[in-house]
Amino acid sequence: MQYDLIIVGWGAAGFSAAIRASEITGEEMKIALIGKGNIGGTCVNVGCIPSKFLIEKSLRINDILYNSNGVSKAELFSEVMKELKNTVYKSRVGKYEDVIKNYKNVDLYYGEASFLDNRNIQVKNANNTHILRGSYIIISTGSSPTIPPFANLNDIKTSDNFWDIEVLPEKLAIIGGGPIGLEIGQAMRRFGTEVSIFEIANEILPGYSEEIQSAARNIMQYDGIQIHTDTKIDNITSEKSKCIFYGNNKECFDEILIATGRYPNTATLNLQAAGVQTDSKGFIITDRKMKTSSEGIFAAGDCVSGKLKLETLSAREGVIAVENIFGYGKEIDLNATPWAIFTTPNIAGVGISEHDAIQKGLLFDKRVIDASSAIRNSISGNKYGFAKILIERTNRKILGIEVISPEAADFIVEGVYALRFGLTVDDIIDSTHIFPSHSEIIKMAAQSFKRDINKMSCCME
Amino acid sequence: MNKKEIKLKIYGMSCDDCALTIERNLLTQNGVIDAKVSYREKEGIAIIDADSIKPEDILGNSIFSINSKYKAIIKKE
Repeated sequence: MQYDLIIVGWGAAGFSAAIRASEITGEEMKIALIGKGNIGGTCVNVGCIPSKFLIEKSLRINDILYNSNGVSKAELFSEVMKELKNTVYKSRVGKYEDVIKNYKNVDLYYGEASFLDNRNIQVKNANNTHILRGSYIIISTGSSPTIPPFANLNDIKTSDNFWDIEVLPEKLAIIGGGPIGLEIGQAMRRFGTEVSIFEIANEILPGYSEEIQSAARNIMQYDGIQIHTDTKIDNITSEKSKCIFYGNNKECFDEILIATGRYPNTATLNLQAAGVQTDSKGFIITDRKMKTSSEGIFAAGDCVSGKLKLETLSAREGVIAVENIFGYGKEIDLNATPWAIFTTPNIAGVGISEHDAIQKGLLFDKRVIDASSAIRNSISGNKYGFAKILIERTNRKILGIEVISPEAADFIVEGVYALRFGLTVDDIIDSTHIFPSHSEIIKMAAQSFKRDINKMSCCME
Repeated sequence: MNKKEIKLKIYGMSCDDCALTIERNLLTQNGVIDAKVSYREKEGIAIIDADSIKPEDILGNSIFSINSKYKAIIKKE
């Protein structure tokens, strides 16, 4: 079967590519969309949607319990997990299955895809084998959680199947102090679970700035979460309960969540036959136009090398890959791609980090202000947080912003505009913000470049 | 001159006039020696001087711009 475009992987990147290609061609482009597992990929099935559902419910736990007649946290948790599955199902049907039915130019193929050469792909499932030929191919197969070699799948949970838990664990171990570990750990703690996070690096959120690492530790510990850094897990066993071994210690838990990173879903694609190069971990190497080393083959999403694993970024890359098939010459702007960790308060950022600015030898200035500087923080009772801005010394353009604050995931987009359009710190100062709002912390951090904010009244412009 | 044949898949055509319009636009492009577009096949062929333009430059023709109703991809064999 001949197609104009074959998309391998039906997650965020694959879907946005299929929809954009259909839009551009008035649904004339003949597209094959290949996938396995639940349609929609990681985000809707086992990523953003279930995790944010759990977080939102955990934040409202006291209100829900207050309005529920004698329901325990354990009973509520079981109910929430049932609701979670239902929400995931409805989101998948509403946002993916029903959506793709609108595109008659897109044929769906369920099965394992592997390249025969740079134009032909075999799709195999239990009943059929199809050979598809494409003028262009986009690989968007995503990523999966890494599992340490000593861990037995029956003993542990990953972010793929944590959502199957029905009984509230009294004790939860989370191996890996990255964003997934912190988000789930904090949510579970609110349900009353004793949570311990084990991180092999010397701080949680390895790779993030020291200010973020330090504040995140304070936030987790304030919530009653045990943090073990510099801790290498040697083994996991399952007897009556699930036990982890580290150093000379043995500690047992009701559940163990492994959140130590992700690997690309590229091993079975036979990329060599297509001439598609990968890095040492199997992530596909692309240029900024999302082109791989093989002409006519693009890649988008989590399977791409050297970037953040974000649903929004995956979707953007899918769009850019398609637009470049039509010769639009688009490039991905990783620098203006925001990220957020949905802890309470949120941790978010955009642009270059101080560490990278130093590595690149940039001449820059920085200001860091405490969250308490924004009066909304004291009103809402938020204890931890800050805003940090890096600017170029010569022209005062924004280089990077990091924020820990309630609602930071919502207002970090201010930094996206600043970076995309080359705004200066003075442009932020000259833009009126809402008072009293959490977003005001970015303006105050900007103002701190030109005055002592401790000598400023409220609403000082 | 280094002649090269480029095959195009063209979207957005609704009549033979569309094919003619695209053909005329392609022929005005520097480096394009000849062009034929078929509404029926939804395809086109452009002969280019590969010493003066690259195959993908064809997609930069204003007839295929982001605001045009016509879009094209270079067919890969």
